Amino acid sequence: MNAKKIVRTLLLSIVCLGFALVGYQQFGASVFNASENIDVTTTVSPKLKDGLNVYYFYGNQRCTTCVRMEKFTQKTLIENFFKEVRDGEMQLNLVNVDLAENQHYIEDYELIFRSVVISTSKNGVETEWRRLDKIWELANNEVAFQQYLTEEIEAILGQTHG
Amino acid sequence: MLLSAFWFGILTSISPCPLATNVAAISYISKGIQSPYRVVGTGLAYTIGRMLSYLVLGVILVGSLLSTVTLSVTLQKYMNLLLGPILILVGMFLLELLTLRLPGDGALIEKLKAKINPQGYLGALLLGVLFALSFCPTSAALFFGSLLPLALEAQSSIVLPAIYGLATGLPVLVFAILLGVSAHRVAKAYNHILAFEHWARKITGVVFILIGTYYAWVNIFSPFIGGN
Repeated sequence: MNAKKIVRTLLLSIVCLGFALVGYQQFGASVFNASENIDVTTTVSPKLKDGLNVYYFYGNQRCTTCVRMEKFTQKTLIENFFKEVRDGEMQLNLVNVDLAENQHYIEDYELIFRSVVISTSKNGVETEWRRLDKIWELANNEVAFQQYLTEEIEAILGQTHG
Repeated sequence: MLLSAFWFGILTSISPCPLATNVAAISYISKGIQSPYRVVGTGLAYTIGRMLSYLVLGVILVGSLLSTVTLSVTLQKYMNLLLGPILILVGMFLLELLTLRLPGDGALIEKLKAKINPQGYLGALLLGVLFALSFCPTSAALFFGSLLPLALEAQSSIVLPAIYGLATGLPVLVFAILLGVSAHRVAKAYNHILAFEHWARKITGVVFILIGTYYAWVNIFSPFIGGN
């Protein structure tokens, strides 16, 4: 017996527990949501009511490229829009779309895959949004990535103010 | 366009994001070192499995039978949730911690057992299907964001997705063949081919269990306990 039986039992327990949790999350969603530990990043970043929201959407499964793009997005805002962020006119929201309370973003912005969305709001109402899917093509080129994001933000701001 | 689809497939397979599943696939394909033909056969079955997955997705999406958002989100969510436990189970079969017991002992049952044996070609094909449908962020972006618009533009529901699928399996297939053939040579030189085969299978089983546990942790347990 031993060892083989113990390993088998242990692994089968992991598998059964895994399936049980998946079932629980899917079918017992309401109970699960109430007791869930909520990710700090998603709750401390409420949507900006007046100004420009930059959403960086990610999921439970992170990848090297995703983490890199998140850094590029943060850097772009700090380096090119420091004043707007400081004055509360612009806000970066890091949102985990795998959390139940954020899944509406998938429908809202037609998020087929993880992406960046910029959106303008006035008096709590969203006036325009753009999904920046091209970030994936520029994920290995920080300069081009930052330039693309900056141009898109300037364009949507110009359109709003213009 | 054909070249672009091929290139997107290569990019998918060499990106770091599906690395764990690629390691599992390479280990799985190269374990049959007793016969280099078997390594190639298993590798081809794995690649065909990937091609079939993308081809079916292509037919569904280019034909607008289902919404891209719905299908993409469903696959990214559920396949990744199931991936961990399934890999652990396959690893257990490879390590003979679990054995397949079907009722009856007729010739047909034996034939069926041999076919669904996780070491057979059908096993490799199903593994290809499973890994192709378990989209990670990069592969989802490349398939849904780069390949699909191309396929829609050309109204190519079969050829472009199939070429993409072939390319996603190709680097894994080539690497597995190189590994399998070189291991075969070393084993042959030392006349230890059977022992090598035995260990290759055990290693593959352990690799599957480790990778399965990793995916189960990342996708199921960690989000549940809020440690992500």
